[in-house]
Amino acid sequence: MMFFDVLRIELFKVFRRPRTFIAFGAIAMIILLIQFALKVNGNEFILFFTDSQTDTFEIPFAGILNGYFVCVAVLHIILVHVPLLVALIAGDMIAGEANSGTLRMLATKPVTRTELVLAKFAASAVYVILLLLWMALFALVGSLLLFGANDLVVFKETDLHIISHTDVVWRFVAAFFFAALALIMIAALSILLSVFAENSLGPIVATVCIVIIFTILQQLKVPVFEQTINPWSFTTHMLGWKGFFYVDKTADGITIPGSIENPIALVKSGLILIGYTAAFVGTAIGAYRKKDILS
Amino acid sequence: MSAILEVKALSKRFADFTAVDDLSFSVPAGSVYGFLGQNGAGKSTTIRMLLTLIRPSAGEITMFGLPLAANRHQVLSNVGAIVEKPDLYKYLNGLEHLRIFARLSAIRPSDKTLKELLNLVGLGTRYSGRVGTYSQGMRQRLALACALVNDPDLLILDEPTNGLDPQGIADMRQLILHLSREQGKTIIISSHLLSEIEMVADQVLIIDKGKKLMEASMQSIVQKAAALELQQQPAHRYFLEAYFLSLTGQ
Repeated sequence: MMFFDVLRIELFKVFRRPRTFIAFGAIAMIILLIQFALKVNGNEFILFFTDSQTDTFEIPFAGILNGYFVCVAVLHIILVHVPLLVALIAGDMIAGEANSGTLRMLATKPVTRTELVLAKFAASAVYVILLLLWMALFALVGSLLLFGANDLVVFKETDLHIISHTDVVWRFVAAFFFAALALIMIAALSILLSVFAENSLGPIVATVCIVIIFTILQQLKVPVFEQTINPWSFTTHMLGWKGFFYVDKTADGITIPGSIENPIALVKSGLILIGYTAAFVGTAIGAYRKKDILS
Repeated sequence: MSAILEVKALSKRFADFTAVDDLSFSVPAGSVYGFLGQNGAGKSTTIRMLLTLIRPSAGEITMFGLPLAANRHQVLSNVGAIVEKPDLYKYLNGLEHLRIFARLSAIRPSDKTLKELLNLVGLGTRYSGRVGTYSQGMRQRLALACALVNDPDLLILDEPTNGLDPQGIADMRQLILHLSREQGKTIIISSHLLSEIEMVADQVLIIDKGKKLMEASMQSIVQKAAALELQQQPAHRYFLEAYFLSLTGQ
Protein backbone atom coordinates (compact mmCIF):
# COMPACT_ATOMS: atom_id res chain seq x y z
CA MET A 1 0.00 0.00 0.00
CA MET A 2 2.76 2.41 1.00
CA PHE A 3 4.65 1.65 -2.20
CA PHE A 4 1.74 2.80 -4.36
CA ASP A 5 1.36 5.97 -2.29
CA VAL A 6 5.05 6.73 -2.84
CA LEU A 7 4.72 5.89 -6.53
CA ARG A 8 1.76 8.29 -6.87
CA ILE A 9 3.84 11.00 -5.19
CA GLU A 10 6.80 10.34 -7.50
CA LEU A 11 4.59 10.46 -10.58
CA PHE A 12 3.00 13.66 -9.34
CA LYS A 13 6.45 15.22 -8.95
CA VAL A 14 7.68 13.98 -12.34
CA PHE A 15 4.70 15.37 -14.22
CA ARG A 16 4.66 18.69 -12.37
CA ARG A 17 8.19 19.50 -13.53
CA PRO A 18 8.47 21.52 -16.73
CA ARG A 19 11.65 19.55 -17.62
CA THR A 20 9.57 16.41 -18.11
CA PHE A 21 7.73 17.87 -21.06
CA ILE A 22 10.90 18.89 -22.91
CA ALA A 23 11.25 15.27 -24.04
CA PHE A 24 7.64 15.11 -25.27
CA GLY A 25 8.08 18.38 -27.17
CA ALA A 26 11.43 17.30 -28.65
CA ILE A 27 10.06 13.97 -29.87
CA ALA A 28 6.99 15.56 -31.46
CA MET A 29 9.14 18.15 -33.23
CA ILE A 30 11.71 15.62 -34.54
CA ILE A 31 9.01 13.29 -35.84
CA LEU A 32 7.15 16.11 -37.55
CA LEU A 33 10.39 17.27 -39.19
CA ILE A 34 11.17 13.74 -40.42
CA GLN A 35 7.63 13.36 -41.77
CA PHE A 36 7.88 16.72 -43.51
CA ALA A 37 11.26 15.75 -45.02
CA LEU A 38 9.88 12.44 -46.28
CA LYS A 39 6.81 14.12 -47.71
CA VAL A 40 9.03 16.51 -49.68
CA ASN A 41 12.07 14.32 -50.44
CA GLY A 42 10.85 10.78 -49.81
CA ASN A 43 12.49 9.15 -52.83
CA GLU A 44 15.89 10.65 -52.04
CA PHE A 45 15.52 9.42 -48.51
CA ILE A 46 14.82 5.87 -49.67
CA LEU A 47 17.84 6.05 -51.99
CA PHE A 48 19.96 7.18 -49.06
CA PHE A 49 19.01 3.99 -47.21
CA THR A 50 19.27 1.71 -50.22
CA ASP A 51 22.20 3.20 -52.08
CA SER A 52 24.30 0.03 -51.98
CA GLN A 53 21.36 -2.12 -53.05
CA THR A 54 20.29 -0.36 -56.24
CA ASP A 55 22.54 -2.67 -58.24
CA THR A 56 21.00 -5.76 -56.62
CA PHE A 57 17.36 -4.99 -57.33
CA GLU A 58 15.14 -2.19 -58.58
CA ILE A 59 13.67 -0.05 -55.84
CA PRO A 60 9.85 0.29 -56.05
CA PHE A 61 9.63 3.85 -54.66
CA ALA A 62 5.88 4.30 -55.09
CA GLY A 63 4.90 1.39 -52.90
CA ILE A 64 7.61 1.79 -50.28
CA LEU A 65 6.86 5.27 -49.00
CA ASN A 66 3.84 4.68 -46.78
CA GLY A 67 2.94 5.27 -43.13
CA TYR A 68 4.45 2.01 -41.89
CA PHE A 69 7.75 2.60 -43.70
CA VAL A 70 7.95 6.15 -42.35
CA CYS A 71 7.29 4.89 -38.81
CA VAL A 72 10.11 2.33 -39.07
CA ALA A 73 12.39 5.06 -40.45
CA VAL A 74 11.47 7.36 -37.56
CA LEU A 75 12.19 4.62 -35.03
CA HIS A 76 15.58 3.93 -36.67
CA ILE A 77 16.51 7.59 -36.50
CA ILE A 78 15.32 8.62 -33.04
CA LEU A 79 15.27 5.56 -30.79
CA VAL A 80 19.05 5.66 -30.38
CA HIS A 81 18.77 9.20 -29.00
CA VAL A 82 15.88 8.62 -26.59
CA PRO A 83 18.18 7.25 -23.82
CA LEU A 84 19.33 10.86 -23.31
CA LEU A 85 15.73 11.96 -22.72
CA VAL A 86 15.19 9.07 -20.32
CA ALA A 87 18.42 9.85 -18.45
CA LEU A 88 17.29 13.48 -18.07
CA ILE A 89 14.44 12.34 -15.83
CA ALA A 90 15.73 9.10 -14.26
CA GLY A 91 19.21 10.51 -13.52
CA ASP A 92 17.59 13.31 -11.57
CA MET A 93 15.37 11.04 -9.49
CA ILE A 94 17.69 10.55 -6.52
CA ALA A 95 20.69 12.79 -7.22
CA GLY A 96 18.49 15.81 -8.03
CA GLU A 97 16.68 15.42 -4.72
CA ALA A 98 19.99 14.97 -2.90
CA ASN A 99 21.15 18.24 -4.40
CA SER A 100 18.00 20.14 -3.48
CA GLY A 101 17.89 18.77 0.05
CA THR A 102 14.51 17.10 -0.38
CA LEU A 103 15.97 13.59 -0.29
CA ARG A 104 16.78 13.85 3.40
CA MET A 105 13.25 15.09 4.08
CA LEU A 106 11.85 12.04 2.26
CA ALA A 107 14.26 9.71 4.04
CA THR A 108 13.14 10.90 7.48
CA LYS A 109 9.59 9.78 6.75
CA PRO A 110 8.34 6.27 7.57
CA VAL A 111 9.03 4.93 4.10
CA THR A 112 11.67 2.26 3.55
CA ARG A 113 14.56 3.06 1.27
CA THR A 114 13.67 0.02 -0.84
CA GLU A 115 10.16 1.43 -1.38
CA LEU A 116 11.64 4.80 -2.27
CA VAL A 117 14.05 3.44 -4.92
CA LEU A 118 11.43 1.09 -6.34
CA ALA A 119 8.88 3.90 -6.55
CA LYS A 120 11.38 6.15 -8.30
CA PHE A 121 12.24 3.37 -10.74
CA ALA A 122 8.56 2.61 -11.37
CA ALA A 123 7.85 6.31 -11.95
CA SER A 124 10.70 6.41 -14.49
CA ALA A 125 9.24 3.32 -16.18
CA VAL A 126 5.83 4.99 -16.42
CA TYR A 127 7.51 8.05 -17.92
CA VAL A 128 9.27 5.83 -20.51
CA ILE A 129 6.01 4.10 -21.45
CA LEU A 130 4.16 7.40 -21.83
CA LEU A 131 7.04 8.77 -23.91
CA LEU A 132 6.82 5.74 -26.22
CA LEU A 133 3.03 6.01 -26.48
CA TRP A 134 3.50 9.64 -27.42
CA MET A 135 6.11 8.58 -29.99
CA ALA A 136 3.74 5.91 -31.33
CA LEU A 137 0.98 8.46 -31.66
CA PHE A 138 3.11 10.76 -33.80
CA ALA A 139 5.29 8.19 -35.60
CA LEU A 140 2.69 5.54 -36.39
CA VAL A 141 -0.73 7.19 -36.29
CA GLY A 142 0.60 10.49 -37.67
CA SER A 143 2.52 8.78 -40.48
CA LEU A 144 -0.47 6.65 -41.46
CA LEU A 145 -2.60 9.78 -41.66
CA LEU A 146 0.02 11.59 -43.75
CA PHE A 147 1.27 8.77 -45.98
CA GLY A 148 -1.47 6.14 -45.90
CA ALA A 149 -1.12 2.38 -45.36
CA ASN A 150 0.52 -0.19 -47.61
CA ASP A 151 2.75 -3.23 -47.33
CA LEU A 152 5.92 -2.59 -45.35
CA VAL A 153 9.28 -2.92 -47.06
CA VAL A 154 12.31 -3.30 -44.80
CA PHE A 155 15.90 -3.38 -46.02
CA LYS A 156 18.40 -5.58 -44.22
CA GLU A 157 21.92 -5.55 -45.66
CA THR A 158 21.44 -7.05 -49.15
CA ASP A 159 18.06 -8.53 -48.32
CA LEU A 160 14.55 -7.18 -48.73
CA HIS A 161 11.72 -8.03 -46.34
CA ILE A 162 8.17 -7.38 -47.52
CA ILE A 163 5.44 -7.59 -44.91
CA SER A 164 1.76 -7.44 -45.75
CA HIS A 165 -0.09 -4.44 -44.27
CA THR A 166 -2.38 -6.93 -42.50
CA ASP A 167 0.65 -8.41 -40.73
CA VAL A 168 2.27 -5.17 -39.59
CA VAL A 169 0.39 -3.63 -36.65
CA TRP A 170 1.25 -6.35 -34.12
CA ARG A 171 4.90 -5.96 -35.11
CA PHE A 172 4.79 -2.27 -34.19
CA VAL A 173 3.12 -3.07 -30.88
CA ALA A 174 5.83 -5.66 -30.18
CA ALA A 175 8.61 -3.30 -31.31
CA PHE A 176 7.35 -0.51 -29.04
CA PHE A 177 7.06 -3.00 -26.16
CA PHE A 178 10.64 -4.11 -26.81
CA ALA A 179 11.84 -0.49 -27.02
CA ALA A 180 10.11 0.08 -23.67
CA LEU A 181 12.15 -2.79 -22.17
CA ALA A 182 15.35 -1.23 -23.51
CA LEU A 183 14.56 2.28 -22.30
CA ILE A 184 13.38 1.08 -18.89
CA MET A 185 16.78 -0.61 -18.61
CA ILE A 186 18.38 2.77 -19.35
CA ALA A 187 16.20 4.32 -16.64
CA ALA A 188 17.40 1.65 -14.20
CA LEU A 189 21.03 2.42 -15.10
CA SER A 190 20.45 6.15 -14.55
CA ILE A 191 18.83 5.53 -11.18
CA LEU A 192 21.73 3.32 -10.13
CA LEU A 193 24.22 6.06 -11.06
CA SER A 194 21.96 8.61 -9.39
CA VAL A 195 22.34 6.81 -6.04
CA PHE A 196 26.06 7.62 -6.01
CA ALA A 197 25.79 11.26 -7.06
CA GLU A 198 24.95 14.49 -5.26
CA ASN A 199 23.68 16.34 -8.33
CA SER A 200 21.79 15.17 -11.38
CA LEU A 201 24.28 16.24 -14.05
CA GLY A 202 26.71 13.44 -13.19
CA PRO A 203 24.33 10.49 -13.67
CA ILE A 204 22.76 12.02 -16.79
CA VAL A 205 26.15 12.53 -18.45
CA ALA A 206 27.47 9.18 -17.20
CA THR A 207 24.45 7.31 -18.60
CA VAL A 208 24.83 8.91 -22.00
CA CYS A 209 28.60 8.27 -22.00
CA ILE A 210 28.10 4.58 -21.16
CA VAL A 211 25.58 4.20 -23.99
CA ILE A 212 27.93 5.99 -26.42
CA ILE A 213 30.96 3.88 -25.40
CA PHE A 214 29.15 0.55 -25.86
CA THR A 215 27.53 1.73 -29.10
CA ILE A 216 30.98 2.61 -30.50
CA LEU A 217 32.37 -0.78 -29.44
CA GLN A 218 29.44 -2.38 -31.25
CA GLN A 219 29.90 -0.30 -34.41
CA LEU A 220 33.63 -1.05 -34.60
CA LYS A 221 32.72 -4.63 -35.57
CA VAL A 222 36.18 -5.94 -34.67
CA PRO A 223 36.51 -9.56 -33.49
CA VAL A 224 38.04 -8.67 -30.13
CA PHE A 225 34.81 -6.90 -29.12
CA GLU A 226 32.43 -8.93 -31.29
CA GLN A 227 33.39 -12.11 -29.45
CA THR A 228 33.71 -10.76 -25.92
CA ILE A 229 31.78 -7.63 -24.98
CA ASN A 230 29.20 -7.13 -27.74
CA PRO A 231 27.18 -10.36 -27.24
CA TRP A 232 26.43 -9.22 -23.67
CA SER A 233 26.47 -5.45 -24.15
CA PHE A 234 23.05 -3.95 -23.51
CA THR A 235 23.42 -1.58 -26.45
CA THR A 236 23.53 -4.62 -28.76
CA HIS A 237 20.24 -5.91 -27.39
CA MET A 238 18.56 -2.50 -27.17
CA LEU A 239 18.24 -2.61 -30.95
CA GLY A 240 16.43 -5.94 -30.81
CA TRP A 241 13.13 -4.24 -31.72
CA LYS A 242 14.29 -4.30 -35.36
CA GLY A 243 13.96 -8.10 -35.26
CA PHE A 244 10.16 -7.83 -35.38
CA PHE A 245 10.45 -6.42 -38.91
CA TYR A 246 12.71 -9.20 -40.25
CA VAL A 247 10.49 -12.05 -41.45
CA ASP A 248 10.99 -15.70 -42.26
CA LYS A 249 10.61 -16.76 -45.90
CA THR A 250 9.80 -19.92 -47.81
CA ALA A 251 12.40 -21.55 -50.08
CA ASP A 252 10.85 -19.53 -52.93
CA GLY A 253 11.56 -16.30 -51.07
CA ILE A 254 7.92 -15.64 -50.15
CA THR A 255 7.27 -14.04 -46.77
CA ILE A 256 5.62 -16.33 -44.21
CA PRO A 257 2.85 -14.24 -42.58
CA GLY A 258 3.21 -13.75 -38.81
CA SER A 259 6.77 -15.03 -38.83
CA ILE A 260 9.91 -13.61 -37.28
CA GLU A 261 13.30 -14.38 -38.78
CA ASN A 262 15.04 -15.10 -35.49
CA PRO A 263 12.59 -15.34 -32.56
CA ILE A 264 15.14 -16.99 -30.27
CA ALA A 265 17.50 -14.02 -30.62
CA LEU A 266 14.62 -11.67 -29.75
CA VAL A 267 13.72 -13.64 -26.64
CA LYS A 268 17.39 -13.75 -25.63
CA SER A 269 17.74 -9.99 -26.11
CA GLY A 270 14.58 -9.36 -24.10
CA LEU A 271 15.78 -11.56 -21.25
CA ILE A 272 19.20 -9.90 -21.23
CA LEU A 273 17.57 -6.46 -21.01
CA ILE A 274 15.33 -7.62 -18.15
CA GLY A 275 18.39 -9.13 -16.46
CA TYR A 276 20.30 -5.84 -16.72
CA THR A 277 17.29 -3.95 -15.40
CA ALA A 278 16.94 -6.27 -12.41
CA ALA A 279 20.69 -6.08 -11.72
CA PHE A 280 20.76 -2.26 -11.90
CA VAL A 281 17.67 -1.81 -9.72
CA GLY A 282 18.86 -4.45 -7.24
CA THR A 283 22.28 -2.83 -6.97
CA ALA A 284 20.69 0.61 -6.61
CA ILE A 285 18.50 -0.65 -3.75
CA GLY A 286 21.45 -2.38 -2.06
CA ALA A 287 23.67 0.69 -2.37
CA TYR A 288 20.97 3.13 -1.27
CA ARG A 289 20.03 1.06 1.76
CA LYS A 290 23.61 1.22 3.00
CA LYS A 291 24.21 4.81 2.02
CA ASP A 292 24.76 7.53 4.59
CA ILE A 293 22.72 10.52 3.44
CA LEU A 294 25.13 13.40 3.96
CA SER A 295 23.79 15.83 1.36
CA MET B 1 9.78 13.13 33.45
CA SER B 2 10.32 9.94 31.45
CA ALA B 3 12.75 10.02 28.54
CA ILE B 4 11.27 10.12 25.05
CA LEU B 5 14.71 9.62 23.52
CA GLU B 6 17.69 7.80 24.94
CA VAL B 7 21.05 7.63 23.25
CA LYS B 8 23.72 5.28 24.58
CA ALA B 9 27.38 5.20 23.53
CA LEU B 10 26.60 6.47 20.06
CA SER B 11 29.57 6.74 17.68
CA LYS B 12 30.05 7.48 14.02
CA ARG B 13 33.32 7.07 12.21
CA PHE B 14 34.03 8.13 8.62
CA ALA B 15 37.22 6.27 7.66
CA ASP B 16 39.83 7.69 10.09
CA PHE B 17 37.66 10.54 11.31
CA THR B 18 35.41 10.11 14.33
CA ALA B 19 32.51 12.54 14.00
CA VAL B 20 30.60 11.34 17.08
CA ASP B 21 32.40 9.60 19.89
CA ASP B 22 30.66 7.54 22.57
CA LEU B 23 27.83 10.03 23.00
CA SER B 24 25.09 9.36 25.55
CA PHE B 25 22.16 11.58 26.51
CA SER B 26 18.47 11.41 27.18
CA VAL B 27 15.69 13.80 26.28
CA PRO B 28 12.81 14.15 28.77
CA ALA B 29 9.31 13.96 27.30
CA GLY B 30 7.72 17.38 26.85
CA SER B 31 10.97 19.30 27.11
CA VAL B 32 12.70 21.68 24.72
CA TYR B 33 16.16 20.22 24.46
CA GLY B 34 18.94 22.48 23.18
CA PHE B 35 21.73 20.80 21.27
CA LEU B 36 24.85 22.92 21.03
CA GLY B 37 28.33 22.68 19.60
CA GLN B 38 30.81 24.45 17.37
CA ASN B 39 30.76 23.88 13.61
CA GLY B 40 31.95 20.33 13.03
CA ALA B 41 31.25 19.30 16.63
CA GLY B 42 29.04 16.43 15.45
CA LYS B 43 25.55 17.93 15.96
CA SER B 44 24.27 17.32 12.45
CA THR B 45 25.80 13.84 12.32
CA THR B 46 24.05 12.98 15.58
CA ILE B 47 20.75 14.39 14.36
CA ARG B 48 21.07 12.44 11.11
CA MET B 49 21.64 9.25 13.09
CA LEU B 50 18.49 10.01 15.13
CA LEU B 51 16.59 10.25 11.84
CA THR B 52 18.19 7.13 10.27
CA LEU B 53 19.86 9.19 7.55
CA ILE B 54 23.24 7.93 8.76
CA ARG B 55 24.03 4.50 10.20
CA PRO B 56 25.77 4.63 13.57
CA SER B 57 29.13 2.84 13.82
CA ALA B 58 28.23 1.88 17.38
CA GLY B 59 25.68 2.60 20.08
CA GLU B 60 21.94 2.46 20.64
CA ILE B 61 19.11 4.88 20.01
CA THR B 62 15.79 4.33 21.75
CA MET B 63 12.75 6.50 20.96
CA PHE B 64 9.36 6.16 22.62
CA GLY B 65 10.81 3.14 24.43
CA LEU B 66 11.56 1.33 21.15
CA PRO B 67 14.98 0.59 19.64
CA LEU B 68 15.15 2.80 16.54
CA ALA B 69 17.01 0.34 14.31
CA ALA B 70 14.37 -2.37 14.68
CA ASN B 71 11.32 -0.07 14.76
CA ARG B 72 12.19 2.60 12.23
CA HIS B 73 8.76 2.78 10.61
CA GLN B 74 6.81 2.97 13.87
CA VAL B 75 9.20 5.45 15.47
CA LEU B 76 9.51 7.82 12.50
CA SER B 77 5.71 7.92 12.16
CA ASN B 78 5.78 9.96 15.34
CA VAL B 79 8.73 12.22 14.53
CA GLY B 80 8.93 15.43 12.50
CA ALA B 81 12.21 16.99 11.43
CA ILE B 82 14.00 19.80 9.68
CA VAL B 83 17.56 18.88 8.73
CA GLU B 84 19.67 21.91 7.82
CA LYS B 85 18.60 24.14 4.97
CA PRO B 86 15.57 22.68 3.16
CA ASP B 87 15.11 23.84 -0.42
CA LEU B 88 11.96 21.81 -1.06
CA TYR B 89 10.36 21.30 -4.49
CA LYS B 90 10.53 24.66 -6.25
CA TYR B 91 7.87 23.71 -8.81
CA LEU B 92 5.23 22.75 -6.22
CA ASN B 93 3.19 25.02 -3.95
CA GLY B 94 2.94 24.95 -0.17
CA LEU B 95 -0.28 22.97 0.00
CA GLU B 96 1.07 20.33 -2.39
CA HIS B 97 4.13 19.90 -0.17
CA LEU B 98 1.97 19.23 2.83
CA ARG B 99 -0.15 16.71 0.91
CA ILE B 100 3.01 14.87 -0.17
CA PHE B 101 4.55 14.72 3.28
CA ALA B 102 1.24 13.76 4.87
CA ARG B 103 0.90 10.84 2.45
CA LEU B 104 4.45 9.77 3.19
CA SER B 105 3.37 9.57 6.81
CA ALA B 106 0.37 7.48 5.73
CA ILE B 107 -2.19 10.14 6.64
CA ARG B 108 -4.60 12.17 4.51
CA PRO B 109 -5.66 15.32 6.31
CA SER B 110 -8.23 17.62 4.72
CA ASP B 111 -7.09 20.75 2.89
CA LYS B 112 -8.72 22.75 5.68
CA THR B 113 -6.44 21.08 8.24
CA LEU B 114 -3.41 21.65 6.03
CA LYS B 115 -4.27 25.33 5.54
CA GLU B 116 -4.61 25.70 9.30
CA LEU B 117 -1.13 24.25 9.66
CA LEU B 118 0.22 26.69 7.08
CA ASN B 119 -1.49 29.44 9.00
CA LEU B 120 0.18 28.27 12.20
CA VAL B 121 3.65 28.66 10.65
CA GLY B 122 2.79 32.03 9.10
CA LEU B 123 2.19 30.97 5.48
CA GLY B 124 -1.58 31.23 5.54
CA THR B 125 -1.98 33.40 2.47
CA ARG B 126 0.79 31.84 0.35
CA TYR B 127 -0.34 28.23 0.19
CA SER B 128 -0.95 28.33 -3.57
CA GLY B 129 2.31 30.07 -4.50
CA ARG B 130 5.13 28.04 -6.02
CA VAL B 131 7.96 27.44 -3.56
CA GLY B 132 10.41 28.78 -6.17
CA THR B 133 8.95 32.21 -5.43
CA TYR B 134 9.33 31.85 -1.63
CA SER B 135 12.07 33.58 0.37
CA GLN B 136 14.44 31.38 2.40
CA GLY B 137 12.50 32.28 5.53
CA MET B 138 9.21 31.16 3.95
CA ARG B 139 10.81 27.88 2.87
CA GLN B 140 11.98 27.35 6.43
CA ARG B 141 8.43 27.91 7.66
CA LEU B 142 7.07 25.48 5.07
CA ALA B 143 9.69 22.90 6.08
CA LEU B 144 8.45 23.26 9.65
CA ALA B 145 4.87 22.74 8.48
CA CYS B 146 6.01 19.60 6.62
CA ALA B 147 7.64 18.39 9.84
CA LEU B 148 4.43 19.01 11.75
CA VAL B 149 2.02 17.52 9.22
CA ASN B 150 1.87 14.12 10.95
CA ASP B 151 1.30 15.80 14.35
CA PRO B 152 4.45 14.21 15.82
CA ASP B 153 5.22 13.91 19.53
CA LEU B 154 8.91 14.55 18.86
CA LEU B 155 10.24 17.38 16.69
CA ILE B 156 13.91 17.46 15.70
CA LEU B 157 14.96 20.84 14.36
CA ASP B 158 18.47 21.28 13.01
CA GLU B 159 19.23 25.01 12.68
CA PRO B 160 15.54 25.95 12.20
CA THR B 161 16.29 29.69 12.24
CA ASN B 162 18.77 29.54 9.34
CA GLY B 163 17.91 32.18 6.78
CA LEU B 164 15.23 33.81 8.90
CA ASP B 165 15.09 37.55 9.45
CA PRO B 166 14.78 38.90 13.04
CA GLN B 167 10.98 38.80 12.85
CA GLY B 168 11.15 35.24 11.51
CA ILE B 169 13.47 34.21 14.35
CA ALA B 170 11.10 35.70 16.90
CA ASP B 171 8.12 33.97 15.25
CA MET B 172 9.97 30.64 15.22
CA ARG B 173 10.79 31.04 18.91
CA GLN B 174 7.13 31.72 19.74
CA LEU B 175 6.07 28.75 17.65
CA ILE B 176 8.51 26.42 19.40
CA LEU B 177 7.27 27.61 22.79
CA HIS B 178 3.67 27.19 21.63
CA LEU B 179 4.28 23.65 20.36
CA SER B 180 6.03 22.72 23.58
CA ARG B 181 3.78 24.40 26.13
CA GLU B 182 0.39 24.25 24.42
CA GLN B 183 0.70 21.00 22.50
CA GLY B 184 3.09 19.12 24.79
CA LYS B 185 5.55 18.23 22.04
CA THR B 186 9.11 17.33 22.79
CA ILE B 187 11.51 19.43 20.74
CA ILE B 188 15.20 18.87 20.10
CA ILE B 189 16.69 22.01 18.66
CA SER B 190 20.17 22.57 17.38
CA SER B 191 21.25 26.12 16.72
CA HIS B 192 24.22 28.43 16.55
CA LEU B 193 22.10 31.17 18.09
CA LEU B 194 22.82 30.50 21.74
CA SER B 195 20.60 33.35 22.88
CA GLU B 196 17.68 31.69 21.09
CA ILE B 197 18.37 28.36 22.76
CA GLU B 198 18.62 30.13 26.09
CA MET B 199 15.15 31.60 25.59
CA VAL B 200 13.42 28.32 24.75
CA ALA B 201 15.37 25.34 26.12
CA ASP B 202 14.67 23.52 29.38
CA GLN B 203 17.66 21.22 29.01
CA VAL B 204 20.92 21.64 27.12
CA LEU B 205 23.52 19.26 25.71
CA ILE B 206 26.88 20.68 24.65
CA ILE B 207 29.20 18.58 22.50
CA ASP B 208 32.66 19.24 21.15
CA LYS B 209 34.68 17.12 18.72
CA GLY B 210 31.98 14.49 18.86
CA LYS B 211 32.11 14.09 22.63
CA LYS B 212 29.70 15.22 25.29
CA LEU B 213 30.97 18.17 27.29
CA MET B 214 27.94 18.50 29.50
CA GLU B 215 24.21 17.87 29.75
CA ALA B 216 22.26 19.95 32.23
CA SER B 217 19.09 21.87 32.84
CA MET B 218 19.00 25.47 31.65
CA GLN B 219 18.43 26.51 35.22
CA SER B 220 21.64 24.91 36.46
CA ILE B 221 23.60 26.40 33.57
CA VAL B 222 22.36 29.87 34.50
CA GLN B 223 23.55 29.30 38.05
CA LYS B 224 26.97 28.05 36.92
CA ALA B 225 27.38 30.83 34.36
CA ALA B 226 26.51 33.44 36.95
CA ALA B 227 29.60 32.40 38.88
CA LEU B 228 31.92 32.83 35.89
CA GLU B 229 34.09 35.91 35.56
CA LEU B 230 33.36 35.81 31.85
CA GLN B 231 29.77 36.68 32.67
CA GLN B 232 30.81 40.03 34.08
CA GLN B 233 32.64 41.41 31.00
CA PRO B 234 31.27 42.48 28.73
CA ALA B 235 28.21 43.37 30.75
CA HIS B 236 25.41 42.00 28.56
CA ARG B 237 26.75 38.56 27.67
CA TYR B 238 24.10 35.86 27.76
CA PHE B 239 24.39 33.14 30.39
CA LEU B 240 24.40 30.24 27.94
CA GLU B 241 26.85 31.91 25.61
CA ALA B 242 29.17 32.61 28.51
CA TYR B 243 29.02 29.06 29.72
CA PHE B 244 29.36 27.58 26.23
CA LEU B 245 32.47 29.64 25.51
CA SER B 246 34.03 28.74 28.83
CA LEU B 247 33.46 25.03 28.11
CA THR B 248 34.74 25.11 24.54
CA GLY B 249 37.80 27.13 25.55
CA GLN B 250 37.07 30.40 23.71
